[in-house]
Amino acid sequence: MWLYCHFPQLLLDTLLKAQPEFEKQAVALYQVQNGQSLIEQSNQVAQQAGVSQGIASVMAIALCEDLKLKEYSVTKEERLLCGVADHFYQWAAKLVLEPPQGIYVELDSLEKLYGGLSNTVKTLHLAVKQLNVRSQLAVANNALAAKVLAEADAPLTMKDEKADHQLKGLSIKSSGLPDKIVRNSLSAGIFSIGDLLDIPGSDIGRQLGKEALFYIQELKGELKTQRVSDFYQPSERFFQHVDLVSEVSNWQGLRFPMKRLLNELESFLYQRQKVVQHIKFQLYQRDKSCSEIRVATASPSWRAQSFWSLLQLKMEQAPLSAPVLEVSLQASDFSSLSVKTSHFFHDAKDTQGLFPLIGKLQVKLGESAVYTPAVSDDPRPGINEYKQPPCRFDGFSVKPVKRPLWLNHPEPVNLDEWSLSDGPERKRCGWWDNQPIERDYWIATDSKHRKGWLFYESGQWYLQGWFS
Amino acid sequence: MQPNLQRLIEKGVVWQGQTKAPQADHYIKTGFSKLDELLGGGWQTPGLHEWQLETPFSEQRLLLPLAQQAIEQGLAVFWVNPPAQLSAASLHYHDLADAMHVVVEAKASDACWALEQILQTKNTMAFAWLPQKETTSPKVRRWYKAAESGQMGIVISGFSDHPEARPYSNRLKIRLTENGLALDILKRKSGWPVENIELS
Repeated sequence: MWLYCHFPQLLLDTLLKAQPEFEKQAVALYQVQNGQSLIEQSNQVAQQAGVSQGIASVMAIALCEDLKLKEYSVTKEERLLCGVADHFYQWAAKLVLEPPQGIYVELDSLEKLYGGLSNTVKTLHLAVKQLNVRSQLAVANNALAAKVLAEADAPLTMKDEKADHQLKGLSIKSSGLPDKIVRNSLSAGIFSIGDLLDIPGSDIGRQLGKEALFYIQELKGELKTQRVSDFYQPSERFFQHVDLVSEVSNWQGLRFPMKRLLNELESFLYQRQKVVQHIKFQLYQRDKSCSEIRVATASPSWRAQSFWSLLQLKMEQAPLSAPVLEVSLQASDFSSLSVKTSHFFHDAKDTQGLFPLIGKLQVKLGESAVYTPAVSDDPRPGINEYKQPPCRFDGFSVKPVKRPLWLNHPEPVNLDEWSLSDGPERKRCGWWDNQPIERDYWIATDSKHRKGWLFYESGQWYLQGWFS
Repeated sequence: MQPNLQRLIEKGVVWQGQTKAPQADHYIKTGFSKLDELLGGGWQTPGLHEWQLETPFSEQRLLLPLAQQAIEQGLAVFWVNPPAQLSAASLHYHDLADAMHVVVEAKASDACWALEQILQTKNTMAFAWLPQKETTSPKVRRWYKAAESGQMGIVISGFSDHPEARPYSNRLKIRLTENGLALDILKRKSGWPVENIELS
């Protein structure tokens, strides 16, 4: 058994989902065919004004002055269909895409899992509803019959006889056959699919050609098209793209579509039990330029909220440079949710709040402004100190030695203002990278009773740190 | 509240009668028994404390015991705008390194924002070096409120010539002496201000 899901307005519905403020306006997508601009998809408001599929765009504007028109793109719709398949993949593994608007779902392998055909279809129906796009579903014992029924928007039934009856009653125009075959069928007095099925195969081949013959054989289940090799494999990287109905010139207008993209990423990661640390938004602008917003969390995450709070901070930093027409979100380099990272919060009581905090600080203040001090095994004081990202802990390979808590860039001092108390500690090294040092380090107290870390080099005393 | 009254409260010349504050969860030892006694047990946590330094780089004797205990408790220690580069080698020497230290460097206004964010986050302790002019009463009130969910913050700044009231839990003036430290406790939860406490 096969379920076919047909999404007749996938691109338009997705567009309106990203910008719900346009739902109450007439919106249509047009496509240029043979030099003529024709309406491809239209929303309910436009349809009520008479804007239907196939009419010329000029006519559509005449019917509805306020109509918002946007160009249809089959590539974008195909990309969206992959997103739908990713969503379905949570419930069904054997999916076959029929771009740009349909998906076959093989049901036999699911019946045991969901407890019968009826429950399986109910479950998948609920999954489709979650998408919040217009859909037409049909179940039949062969994939082609399910597709024809779904595209004709026949009432959903799971009974073979009823589906068969519905199929036979459909007009030949709803068969999905090429226009030429449909015209020939009509001129030969074949008005419905039932009429076509009643004709012996040899006559069909002779009168309407091989294509019609294969069609009938597949519809009857006599010819099985190999679909197994075409089973959909979910993508290993995340890429979602949102077209905006009209350009957006401020962050406020982008909040909803960007949040929706993040929710889709969350769902993508949840399905795969993966986490990601870096994501990239691309904002496509009117002048064909594209600006990027990179968001990185302090630790890998799958939650939309983790990225959203950081994205909001980015939004606060600068206004939109130019009006935006499209937004996309990309993410790759996923890691497994269960992998334990080697970070220095390993002993912390609860790290849940710390990573978002660090991410927030980094976004607002810049990544280099938030760090953890680290020390290398270089024996030269100061040179051995470096900054590392705040969520990494590499451990220490050096023996602890007494060093001041605060380090300065060495500054010359007058020894008369200091009294030496502890030392010297001789440092003669650095020949290997042309930064040799030859210093005698002392702990000394200044007139304000503070303990400083001084060194003597080339006839001059310098202050390098404070112990006090 | 009347603006005139508000001004007087900020100057610290009005004593406010309040219902008894709920007992603090616990105290972190200061490292000096005399100071623990004067502060009613140690550094109150949750709480926000002010250390006014006579000269920069004179806070270490109070800071290190606090950081050590924070780490023992599994807290992340945030160093906001430290006065110089925080040495990892020194943390290693003081047995503080195998833990969580995050340095935040920002201009003063951003540092105030960062401190509030840190104090709002569970399991953190913050040391923030801020000039007196940044530690205005509304900001301190925000930090205090942020810390109330369980955190402790220390705001370290220079001496204030005209100390006005601030909602810190404790306010200390710190001077280095030949023998160690001398403190004036300008404000404490557990009693009246005291002066010239010698700690060695």
